[in-house]
This record gives sequence, C-alpha cells and structure tokens, in this order.
Amino acid sequence: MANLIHAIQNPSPYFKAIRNSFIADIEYRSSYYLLIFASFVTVFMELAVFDHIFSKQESAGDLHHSQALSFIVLGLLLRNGVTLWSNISDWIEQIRDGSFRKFLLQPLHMPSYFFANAIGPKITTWTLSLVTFAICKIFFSSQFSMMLPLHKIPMFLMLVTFAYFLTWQLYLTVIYVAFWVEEASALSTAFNLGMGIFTGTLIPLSWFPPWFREIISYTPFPLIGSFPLQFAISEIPTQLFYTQFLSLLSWILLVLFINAFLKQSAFKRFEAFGG
Amino acid sequence: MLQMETSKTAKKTGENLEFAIICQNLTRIYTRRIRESGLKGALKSFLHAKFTSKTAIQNLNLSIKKGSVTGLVGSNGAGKTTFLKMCAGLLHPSSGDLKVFGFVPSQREIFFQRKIGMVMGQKSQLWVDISAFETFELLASIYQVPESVFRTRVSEYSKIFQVEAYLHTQVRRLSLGERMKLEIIAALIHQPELLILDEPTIGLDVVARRAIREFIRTYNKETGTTIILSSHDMNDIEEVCDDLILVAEGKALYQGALSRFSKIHEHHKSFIEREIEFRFDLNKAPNSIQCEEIAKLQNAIVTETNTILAKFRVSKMQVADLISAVLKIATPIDIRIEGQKLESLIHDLIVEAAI
Repeated sequence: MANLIHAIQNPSPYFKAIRNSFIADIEYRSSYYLLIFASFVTVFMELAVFDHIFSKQESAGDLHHSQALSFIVLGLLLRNGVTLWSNISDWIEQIRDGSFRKFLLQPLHMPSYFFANAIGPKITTWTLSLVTFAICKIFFSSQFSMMLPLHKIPMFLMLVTFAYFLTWQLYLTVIYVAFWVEEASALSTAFNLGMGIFTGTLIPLSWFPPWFREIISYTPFPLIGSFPLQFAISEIPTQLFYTQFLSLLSWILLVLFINAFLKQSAFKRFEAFGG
Repeated sequence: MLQMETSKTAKKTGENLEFAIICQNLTRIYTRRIRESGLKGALKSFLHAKFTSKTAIQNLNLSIKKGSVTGLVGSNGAGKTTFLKMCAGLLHPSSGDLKVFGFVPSQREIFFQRKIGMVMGQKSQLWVDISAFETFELLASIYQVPESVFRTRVSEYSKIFQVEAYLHTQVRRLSLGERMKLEIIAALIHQPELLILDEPTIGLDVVARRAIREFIRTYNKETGTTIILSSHDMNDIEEVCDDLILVAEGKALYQGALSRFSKIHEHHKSFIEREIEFRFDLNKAPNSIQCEEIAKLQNAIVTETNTILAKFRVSKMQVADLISAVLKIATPIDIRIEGQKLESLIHDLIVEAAI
C-alpha cells in the first residue's frame, strides 16, 4: 500500500516508463507489418465465413446480417486490445532467468510499473486499430454508422477501458503464477488464445453450444469482449446492461484482490540460481 | 526533506552506527527440480517431478563495516550471489536474521531500496532497445534525483568511464565493456549508500578492468559508500578491497581485513612457496644430459617448445640455492619468480575446506 501511495504522489517514473516502452517498441517495425497482415487476414477470413453463413439466412444466433461487419471490425479492435500484451512473455522469461531482479530492486509500485510498461507497446496497437476503424468508417460508412451511433461511443469506450483493465489484471495474475510454474510461452499462448475465443470477439458467443456458453458465463471472458460488442452493435435491455456492468466491476475488484495476495507470495518465490 | 525522512526511518529501524550489514545464522535453502537426462528422464519428470534441496547459505554470521570496500570471494556455487541477493532484498532468507542499514531487506521498503545500488555482471538493468541515457532518465525519476544533479552525475561518471560517445546509442549495439561501464553508472545515479557489485569485471579487457577498479576505489574514498565486490579475479580484490569475506559451501571461512588475512596465512604453503621458471634459448639450449641434470633438481618439469622451459616450485628459502644450481648447468635467457599469490592461497583454503 505504501508503494501505491508513493506511486500516486510521484507518477513521473510511470509516465517515463510508458514513454520508454513506446520508444523501445517502435524499434521493431516488422512486428507491426505482421500485425497489420494478421489483422487483415483475420478480417478476410471472418468476412468469408460470415458471407457463407448469411447467404442462407438473415440471422445466426443473436447476430443479424447487417450487424456482421460491425462485429468483425469492433471485434478486431477489442481483440487487439485484450491480447498482444507483447511484453508479458518477456517478463515471464525474466522470472525464469533471474533478470526480473531489476524490477524488485527499484522503489516502485510493481503493478503500476508493469502497467506503464505494457501501455507503451499498446499505443501502436491502438493506433493501428483506430486506423482500421477509420478505414471501415470511410469505406462502409452507411452500414457502420448505423451500428455504432454517436451517443453510444462514450459508454462503449468506458466499457472497453474497464475490459482492458480487467484483461491487464488477468495477465498480471498469469505473471504471478509464472513464479511457480515458470512456463513462459505456454502461459502467454494459452491466455492469448483464450482471449481470442472465449471473449467472443472472433466468433460470436451465441454461436457456441449452450453448455459452452453456460460454462463461459461463470468466467470474466464474455464481459471483456462480448459485452462491449453487444452494447455497440445491438440494443441490450437496461436491466441486463447494469447486471453485466456490475459483474465487470466485481471481476475487476476480485482479480485485484487475488493479485494483491498472489504478489507477496510470488516475489518470495523468486529464486533464480547463480549470477 | 527526504534526508530527514530517511534519518527518522533509520532511527526507527535501529540502524547500527558501525556496520552496514549484520547477519546472524543466515540460511538460504533452494529447492531444485531434478530429472535424469534424455527422453526417458524428461517423460518421467513430466509425470512425476522430483525435487531436491540445496543449501546455498548455512548459518552465516558476519558483519560489514560502513564505508568499507569488502571483497566477497569463493568458488562457484559457494553462496556469494545468494548472499548479495538477500542483502539487496531480492531473496528471502530461509532462516536467520539479516539487517542492512537497520532494515530487513526482504521487506523491500522504499527507503531501503533507495539506499541500494546493484550491478550484476551477467544481468543487465539497462533497457536494451533504447539508449542508456533514456534508462538513466527513468532511474533518476524513480529515485527522485533532481534534474541538475542527475545531469552532473551522468556527465561526471561518463567522463571518468569514457563512455560519453555511447550515451545515446542503443544499449544492444554496445560492446560488453561499454555496457558494463554504463551499468555501473546506472547503479550510481541515485548515489546509493550500499553498492553491490557482483562480478562487474567479468569478460572485460585489461583496460576496462583497470578503469572499473580505479573508479571503485576513488568513488569509495570520495563518497564513503559501502561497497561489496564479488569477483573471481583476485586482482580485483587485491587492488580494491580493504576487507575480505571468504565463502565456501555457504559458510564464511574468513572475515576481516585483507591485510590480516595475508598475515594469518603467511606460513601457508601458498605464501611460502615460489614458482620459478627458467627459459633457455633453443639454439644455446642445454643438451639432453644438461636437461636431465636440471630435471633432477627439485622435481623440475622440462618442456621443449620454441624455447626450453624449466619450472620449479620451491620454498622461498630454497630460491637462491636453486638459481645457483641451475646457472652452474646452463645459462637461461630469462628467469621468472612468482611470489605469494592470494589466488593460490584462496584456492588452497577452499579445497581444504571441501575436504
């Protein structure tokens, strides 16, 4: 708690960390070409699948043909936001080889410092996502503007911010767990895959079997992806909206609590051998 | 303001006025996963992992004086780095007490962390994808070093280490020596009261090593910073340190002044014995009979390469007799006498302790 208060009183290092991580990240231009390529490949794949589905029927699950394009584009934006925390695996690797010590040595509030370090690389991802959004807005304005009306944008952005924060906290949980299992690539890959599928940003959750949706409803994943998406492209009943919004906040608090508990034990586990 | 708060905290924690570090019965045990080599071993370990424990530090009792430069030596796996990591608050002791400036390091309090600077020769704290200067700026911000002080320090230290030209180059494009000098600067930005240097000269050339040694010495004199230097290079220890801690198998074999260490062991064979080498010109070399005669003296080893080399290991009382005996047989082009070596002594003590 003392470190958190200190961080609030002295936020400068955290802003500097955002700046440095952004500078470090734009060093690797090829990863952005790859990101653009991967984004467009996914969009084209989804377009092909959705075209095939909607050529035979007007709606599938709770998704109408007219909502499909918005789902694909907004789903991409959300997915790029909740996955691709690129430096997660770097940190887990550092736990393994002992380089993590540099974070433990410095008088910092660790979660805030991690967050600052993660925001930097995200700036470019978000920029690319916004460019994609702008392109779609220009070329498919008639369909797109219908699905995300202007008055919904502030609330949509707020939901996305909460969703990103929850995702980030979940990633932090993965980092703390890595102090025990030390399996860097497996953990981050599993989590990125989970974020892609279980959040319902790649394939609408309503297309999955009922038993799967039942299980997934007990996890925070639908609140991260499906909830903001549904809000953006369709009309959610007010009662349901508040229930889901409260669930999202509750999950954030729960994961924050778990992380605060895990952090102490995790750092005690840090024991890379030798020099 | 910060100093006032620091001194208040110091009073609160009961900081010892003489010693920077005090540890009593300090023990650290690691748990290691063991597996047999090969595919079968990997599969067995996958299904049923086995663990073993390794005691890195065992009931260690020692204290380090404020303002001293203390050398920490010992063989690989002796527990040096473990001890240093515990002092920095990176590792939690399994048992025992450890206090650094009155703080319990593993609690990692902000005031404690501000007093510590650490350089590990094999690990970097600089961001590799950006310039060292950008990392320095970040560190200055983390440790709340005022802008003007920060710039003065960076300018001063980079002049001493002659790294001004590399300050704005990406760290990953620098050589090991350049990077290591920048690592030391990074650890000094906030002028820590305790500087922990774990093998800072590893892999460096002679010039870089000398520069680092001279800097440590001068820095300690000028700032009164307590410095712990762990190194496998005994020249580092001999040239820089006032005190010595010799660790073997997680226990301190010796702790005290370096000069006293040499005095205590002046009768040890490593200090009594001298290595003498005679080098003979191949053209004017001793013939085979002369070689045999030389070999008979004190178990000499006669090697024939471009020149002929005769090596002896005798007590210092026998040096004069040996030289005159060899000179009677043949005339060498060079004679080399190696005197007392701290490295040999420490080696012998570690080996003796292991037995």
